[in-house]
Amino acid sequence: MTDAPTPDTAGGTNPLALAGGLLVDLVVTTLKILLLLVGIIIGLAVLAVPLVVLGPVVLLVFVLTLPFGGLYRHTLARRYLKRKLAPLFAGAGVALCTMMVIVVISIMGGFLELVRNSGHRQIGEVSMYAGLGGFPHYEKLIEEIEKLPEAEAATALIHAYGLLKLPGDMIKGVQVHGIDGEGAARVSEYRQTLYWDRNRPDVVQLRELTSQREELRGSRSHYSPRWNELADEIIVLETKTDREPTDDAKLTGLYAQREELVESKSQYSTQWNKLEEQIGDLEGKIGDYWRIISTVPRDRDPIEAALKMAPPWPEALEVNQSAMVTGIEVSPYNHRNSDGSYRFSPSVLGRALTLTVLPVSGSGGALTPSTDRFVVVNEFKSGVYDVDGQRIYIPFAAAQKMMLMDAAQKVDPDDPTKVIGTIPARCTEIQVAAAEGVTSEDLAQAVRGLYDRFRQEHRDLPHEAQMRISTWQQMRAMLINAVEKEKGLLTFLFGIISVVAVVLIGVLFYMIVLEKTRDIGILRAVGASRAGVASIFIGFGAAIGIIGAALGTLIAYLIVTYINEIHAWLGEGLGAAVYAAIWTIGGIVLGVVGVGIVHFIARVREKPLSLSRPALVFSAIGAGIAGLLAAILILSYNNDLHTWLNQKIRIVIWDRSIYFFDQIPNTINWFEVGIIVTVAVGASLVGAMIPAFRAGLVDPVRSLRYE
Amino acid sequence: MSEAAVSTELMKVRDLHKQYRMGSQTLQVLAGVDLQVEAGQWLCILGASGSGKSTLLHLMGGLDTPDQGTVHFRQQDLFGLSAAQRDRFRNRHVGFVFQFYHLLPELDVLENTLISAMVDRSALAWPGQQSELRQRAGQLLDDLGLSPRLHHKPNELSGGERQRVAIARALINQPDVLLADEPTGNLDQATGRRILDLLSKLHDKGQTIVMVTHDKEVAARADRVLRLETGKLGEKSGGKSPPG
Repeated sequence: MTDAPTPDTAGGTNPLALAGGLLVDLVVTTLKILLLLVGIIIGLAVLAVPLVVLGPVVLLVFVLTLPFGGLYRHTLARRYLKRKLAPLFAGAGVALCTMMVIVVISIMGGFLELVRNSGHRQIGEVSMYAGLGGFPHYEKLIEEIEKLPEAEAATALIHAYGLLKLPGDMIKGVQVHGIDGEGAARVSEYRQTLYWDRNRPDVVQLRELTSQREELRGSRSHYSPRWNELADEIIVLETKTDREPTDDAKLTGLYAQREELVESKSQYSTQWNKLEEQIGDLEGKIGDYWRIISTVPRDRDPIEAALKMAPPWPEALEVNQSAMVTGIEVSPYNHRNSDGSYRFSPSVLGRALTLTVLPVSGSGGALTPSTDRFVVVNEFKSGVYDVDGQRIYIPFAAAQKMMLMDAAQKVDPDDPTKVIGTIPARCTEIQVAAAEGVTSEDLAQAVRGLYDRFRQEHRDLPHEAQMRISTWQQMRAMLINAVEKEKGLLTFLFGIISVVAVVLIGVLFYMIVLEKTRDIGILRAVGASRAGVASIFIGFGAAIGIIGAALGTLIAYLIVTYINEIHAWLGEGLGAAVYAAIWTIGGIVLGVVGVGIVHFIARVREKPLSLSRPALVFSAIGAGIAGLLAAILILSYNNDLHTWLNQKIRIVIWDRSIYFFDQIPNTINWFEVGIIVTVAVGASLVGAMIPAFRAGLVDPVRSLRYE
Repeated sequence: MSEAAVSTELMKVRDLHKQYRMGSQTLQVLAGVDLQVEAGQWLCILGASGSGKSTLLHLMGGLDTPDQGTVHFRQQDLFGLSAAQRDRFRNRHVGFVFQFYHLLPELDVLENTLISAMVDRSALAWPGQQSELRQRAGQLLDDLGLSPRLHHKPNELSGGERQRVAIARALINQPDVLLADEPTGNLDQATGRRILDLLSKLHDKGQTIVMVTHDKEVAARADRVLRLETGKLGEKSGGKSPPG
């Protein structure tokens, strides 16, 4: 421990003592800073509510008194705003904090909303579930439930796990739901999540446009024969040696006709081009969807097929194939584009796939697997990745049969030929939708009551304790709570960061006040009051707060609205942007250096030029633009480089295979924004209040004493 | 109002005391100052630096408060007024001129001149009086030879020009008394002399001036010169009239 600094009483010359003293200073300073931090945190914690209330009140009072009191306050507050760095930094600080908090709250809030909605969308309001073994008498139970005033509709489901064989001998584990399509559509948003729809507005529009184009193509065919005819007639008349006046008149008529034809042909091509352009645009937008959906024959509506859970074409039924609806991410051949649309190579729509499920016996053992073939009549996209990637729907009856849950005869275990009763058909879940205005809690309560009564008559149903009757919120509680906590935590963290902004503004303003002490003295000498002088700085703070918060809101709005585009760009266009930025910066540097060289040469020749700022700025901007243009040119001609750059330099935060949702939520809650902006403006005012108070206390005599 | 004789009396200072605390020491700056300023008079207070002459001036302008004693302006006790009334008094009746000019660096010459006028005029009242005030400021600055400089910032002006702007600012509200604290102290002799000529001219037009200086030559321009020593005022020979 020879290097440990020890207190030395012999004097300050000892380097060890010096180091020790330094260490003590450091420790003391650290402690002081810590103490200050603790003070700030405690102060803000205690004052948080009063500050938030105080800010708007101060602002209101300030705004109301604006027209009264000396004009000098406005003049000076405006002049101080025009100063260079301090107001810029303070405003930027407010803007950044406002922006951060709005972005975080909006995105996390949107995320929460998505989690909630998706839960709701999938489940309906209330679910009854008693394990994979299922429960009997569901038909009767559904009938009873639908009689409840609280319930809108109910539907039975069968849950199973299975193996799906996809084209190319690819086997995938899937979650199988046996559903009644129409029942599911009544209870949940099954209908809305179906992906293939012949009547989607953009598809309809594109279909109309293409048929218009076909019509137009047909009308073109008469142009050329007519043109040739005309040309022939004209030639005959023109070359006629002894033309008579009637011929001339006829010729004029023919010319006019030709003119007309040219005119109508040009109209035709404008129309054609316009149509082509519209079709091209729309095709570019919906792309592969159009390619697939336009091959589906008119009489085979995928939506209807998914609701009926039966293939719309008779040949499938002949080979005894039922319908299947798969999640959009189930097929590995569906590739998602960055804009959320899909490419299909190939599409599974209309293909027959083989599904194997493992039935479970009453005692929980696995029975012989059963296999069947299903035609994919539609796909669905709920937006929740784990659902879209794993779930498939098959007809309820087919699932029941495969899972051996249909009604069967009960035989004597000793003599399998002897029938001793029947086993009723079973399902594994009943989903219930609430009637208008009924909360899921109330509905669950009603269903529970019903089930208790119902079980009195059907003792073979699972016990109340085994039958889980839960609302969709409860089923998704884990996820919803987690996201809620996450939102709260993030908002809190960024709130703390915003405290930094208040401190920052306070310090900046304090520095401005210190620097302006003499000005304050002067104003007091010409008759300004303490309050008047203080209000200059309050006004200054209000202006910075309002401008900063408005700017922050604007930026946040743009970021949140275009978050998906920005994210896509970070993943796909960042490389090119960095490349272009490097060229631009290079250009600016060259521009500056160039001016420097010119001046150096001038100096060497002893004819020094005066270095003017505009010249420097112009050459820097000019060279920067030249660099940017060069980068754009290079990138547009060198596609390989472009692609390579974008593949090498990219940031992907929202990985769609990790997050549940395929889109980053981009809605803004303006109520929350209102609160945030109020707090931001209030905080800037509070930050300005302490220095303003200090300004009011400046002793004019003392501040005027020296230059 | 009681006597006809006081009709010319503008300010009256009685038994003024002021001390400053400098660390552990107390500094008795003013120890019973009595003084009377007649309307239209040019009074000069001569004193060494640190003798408290600036303090006296600040007290007379209501910028500072005394420990003891009174300052009356037209029979009105300044320190019996509220702070707001005193601010208003300073704005309406007093014009300060300082040794270091003390202009606002962000404002140009015209704005610096108008700032005193802006103090007691609100954003509502300003538009109605703006043209008149601008005209008055323009006239003042023209008289002071600053018309080509109206839109220059203080840092673009010479010392003499800055002091003339400061004088214009002090005069814009047509004050009853001009309180000048070493107005030539920071200027070279020729420039200082021109400033004094200006003050003389103002004085000839009837402007009451109270000026403090340490320079006897400067003091010689005044009607009456008082000497401030060890916190008390004494008559200097050559003064025009005896103290009241």
